[in-house]
Amino acid sequence: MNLKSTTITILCIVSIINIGFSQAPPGYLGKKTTLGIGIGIPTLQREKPVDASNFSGDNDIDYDFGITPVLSIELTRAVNRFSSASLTYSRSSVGLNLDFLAVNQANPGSINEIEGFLNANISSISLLYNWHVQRKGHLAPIGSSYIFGIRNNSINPTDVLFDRPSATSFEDLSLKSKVNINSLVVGWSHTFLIQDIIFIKTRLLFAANFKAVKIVKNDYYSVYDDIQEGYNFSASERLLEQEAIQFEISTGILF
Amino acid sequence: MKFYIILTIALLTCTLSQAQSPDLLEPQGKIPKEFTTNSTTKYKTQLANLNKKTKSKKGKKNRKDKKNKKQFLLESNFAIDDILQSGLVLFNDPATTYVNKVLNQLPDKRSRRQTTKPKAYVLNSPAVNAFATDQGYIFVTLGLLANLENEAQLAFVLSHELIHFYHGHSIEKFAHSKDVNREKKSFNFNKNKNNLSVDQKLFKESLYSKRMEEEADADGYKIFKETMYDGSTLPDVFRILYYSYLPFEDKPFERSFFEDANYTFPNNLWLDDVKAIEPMETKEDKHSSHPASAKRLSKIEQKIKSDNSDTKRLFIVGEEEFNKIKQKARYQIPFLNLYNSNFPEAIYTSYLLSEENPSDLELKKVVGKSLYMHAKYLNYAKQNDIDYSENYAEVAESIQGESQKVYHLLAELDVEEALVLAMRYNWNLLQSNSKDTEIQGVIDDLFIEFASVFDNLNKFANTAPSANKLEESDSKTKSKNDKIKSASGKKGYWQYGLVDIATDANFKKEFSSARRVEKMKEREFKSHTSSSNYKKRKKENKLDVKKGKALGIKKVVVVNPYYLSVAEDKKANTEVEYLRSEEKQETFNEYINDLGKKSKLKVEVLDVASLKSNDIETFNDISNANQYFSQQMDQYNLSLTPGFEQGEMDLLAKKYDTDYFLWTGVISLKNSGKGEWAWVGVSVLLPYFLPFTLYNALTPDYDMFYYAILFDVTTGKRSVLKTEFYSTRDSKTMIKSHVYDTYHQINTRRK
Repeated sequence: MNLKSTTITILCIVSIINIGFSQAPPGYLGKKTTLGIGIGIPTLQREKPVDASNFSGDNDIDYDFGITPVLSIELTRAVNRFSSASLTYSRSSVGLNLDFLAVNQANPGSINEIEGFLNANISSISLLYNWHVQRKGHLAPIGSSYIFGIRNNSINPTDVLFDRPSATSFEDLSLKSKVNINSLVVGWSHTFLIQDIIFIKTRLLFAANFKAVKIVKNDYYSVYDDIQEGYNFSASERLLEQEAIQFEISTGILF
Repeated sequence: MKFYIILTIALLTCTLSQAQSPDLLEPQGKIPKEFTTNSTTKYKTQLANLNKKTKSKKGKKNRKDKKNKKQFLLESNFAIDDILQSGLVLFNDPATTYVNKVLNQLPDKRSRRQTTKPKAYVLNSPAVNAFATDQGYIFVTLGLLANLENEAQLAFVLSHELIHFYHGHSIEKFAHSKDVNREKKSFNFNKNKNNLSVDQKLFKESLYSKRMEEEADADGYKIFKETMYDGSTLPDVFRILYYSYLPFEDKPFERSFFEDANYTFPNNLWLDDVKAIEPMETKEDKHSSHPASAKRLSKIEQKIKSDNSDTKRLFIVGEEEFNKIKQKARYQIPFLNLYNSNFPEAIYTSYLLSEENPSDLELKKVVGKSLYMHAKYLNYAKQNDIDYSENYAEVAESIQGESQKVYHLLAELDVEEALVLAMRYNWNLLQSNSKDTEIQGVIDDLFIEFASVFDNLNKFANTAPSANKLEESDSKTKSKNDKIKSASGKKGYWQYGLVDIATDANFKKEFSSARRVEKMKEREFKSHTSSSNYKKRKKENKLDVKKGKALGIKKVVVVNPYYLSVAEDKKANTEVEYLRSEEKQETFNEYINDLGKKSKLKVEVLDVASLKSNDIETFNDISNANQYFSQQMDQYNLSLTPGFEQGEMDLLAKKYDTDYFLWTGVISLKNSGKGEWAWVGVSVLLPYFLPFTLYNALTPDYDMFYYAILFDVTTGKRSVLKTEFYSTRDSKTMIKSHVYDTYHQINTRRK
């Protein structure tokens, strides 16, 4: 994370913990904060990350589809009788099969198409507002709640593998393709308590992505996307679409 | 339900040491075990006995019979324990001790069926009645003791109830009722229909019940005959029971009780001739559970004819003791009528006793409180356009005997008249008892009601009405116009009601103060949204809804926390889950105690089930507190009203070092709810919903009602913290969460 994101995150954590309203909420027996870890399962199967061992004899890249779980850590604090705020950090590793259209710097007029595979880490920070269900009498931070929030997704490619392992003309391909995309998140969760200390939370989230607001400078390649059938930078969006609906289960402590 | 938060106009400025309490019968000594043993234990003991007795009985009929009896034991144990813990049952008091002495005069008829000896308790109720339970308790009401003429009559009543107990009538009646309800095709009056109608069922049940009553009369008389009691006055027992709707005496109610030289009711308010007491009805009511009293009377007369009563006596335990208990029972009746908001009866029965006790302040206070409450209800009804007097008038027409005068008077009074009557009576009472905090409390509230009806005291005469009689004597010589002029200038009788009072400096001062507050309320109402007070209150109400209240109170007393668990079966019949209710009650009490320690609020719990045998003081405290709560909830829509025994509540507040008492409870309803499998079908298409929809479909639907109402018992001000239905199960987490939230709202302060 860069300095700006870190600062914002720390400010959010401090605010959540120390928000002083005119009247403190009761929480659950006075306990207003939960800290937990969880695992999320995106809706669709996605390509798993690959390495050199995935090359087949004819230089094709073998890759699998499968469950690529999202690991998360979350801090939630009751801010009102029936509402709480959550700060979540989650991370997952995925892969993406792409056709690259690369421009040879040595020969700018020439454009070549290369099959490749992108491994990327997706890190997300979410700030969520949980509106606990009054009709059920669920006081924050436990029970059922509707969720609204925003999420900042940072897609950070770690490596790119090409079907032609040596392509000196393409050595200049250095991908600085880290992309930040924001999403609007809505969902539903239910928090159960065990022995008044340990919680188990199940959550269903829906995310709608905004357009990428920043494309890193010096991107000198565009990507042909088989699914989208076009040259655009939609790979990151397609990665995130796979996380559009996510089921999570987490556990932690209430204090 | 509308909730009003009303500004407290005047606080009681009394010293608590001046609070008096009437000398009424109340529980004393050690608390009997049956009052504090939990119902589940009693049920299981009786169930074990039932299983032992019916072990060898086989067959479908016997199984059904056993099932009915099991259900009876369950329901009756819990119902009886509700009565025992209600505070209405007296024990170790002079009346109960006496009744048990009389019971001991009767022969011991224990058998294999009933091995326990029954116990008698007196019920703190003005109703004229007695009943027995299968558990071996005979309850006799104070109303009955107030009406009986001698000890022999009491002995016969107890004999009758003993037969109900020894013959197991309660359980047999219950089982029979279940059979009748199930009876569909086996017995029909009308061949075209398959089911017994409601009318047919009631008729069948009443036949059975009447047979049991006749058996109790006949076999009860056999027990009675074995004693030395004289049966010659037994027919009067049935007369007493038949005329139980009448007060214990019927003496002329004199106008002078309320009137004086300055204040005289017009003729339309006063009945000179009352409705005569009607002769006993001989026709049998086909739906009544008891045979016609005339028939029972006639049967008993036949029996006693053949018996020689020369050596028999009307009193064995003691005539003096009987009369003493009867007097005590009678003394309690006006108070019980007041607590039941039966104001005409309260006034009339106080009047009956005041002849022998003319200086008894407590009886006068009953009259004062009754007049005050009647005026308050009238004022509320008028402000809210409700018919209060009309119902009263209908009842008044049907009343027999001298008490009809009181009913008629109260029915005919309009608001101004009722307020003046209440004010003059209570003000005069206060003058001779200036340190009495209860009378002061009534007066303080009466001024509020007064100020809402009268703008000023100008309507009231400052001179006595006798000065105007000179004018009346000239009526023959006056012209028509002069007569019209003098008629329009005449004051109504009630306008003379405050002569000698309205000129009192203290009276004027209190009235002015009450008027100022009333004007402020009127201004706020008119200016409505622009008033700063209104805006401030609106903002606070919003915050209360959003964040909960913030009362800043350090200590509360929680009175008898309550738990009820109810389940709906597939046919949508609702049944109480008695065993679960009691189990949950115990854990609820634990939470109430434990969470008090967790929160910063000091909590003291008053709960009958947790009392030891020597905690009689606490038992009576709970009873007084519950009576106060019951009264306040009955008068929920009225403005702040002092308790009928406000003195007792002031003492309680001092004893427990807090003015704040909390009533809280949970009612859980398990719906029969067929699982919502349709959603499961939908979620097959969207698998991520599946865990939620499956959980929803597999678990039954629950609703939970949680209430927490806090009273400042010295002022009557209430804060309704929670009265909410939640569509959720009464899980441990939910209950604890809301108990803690309640305490949090009581204790926390808004920054």
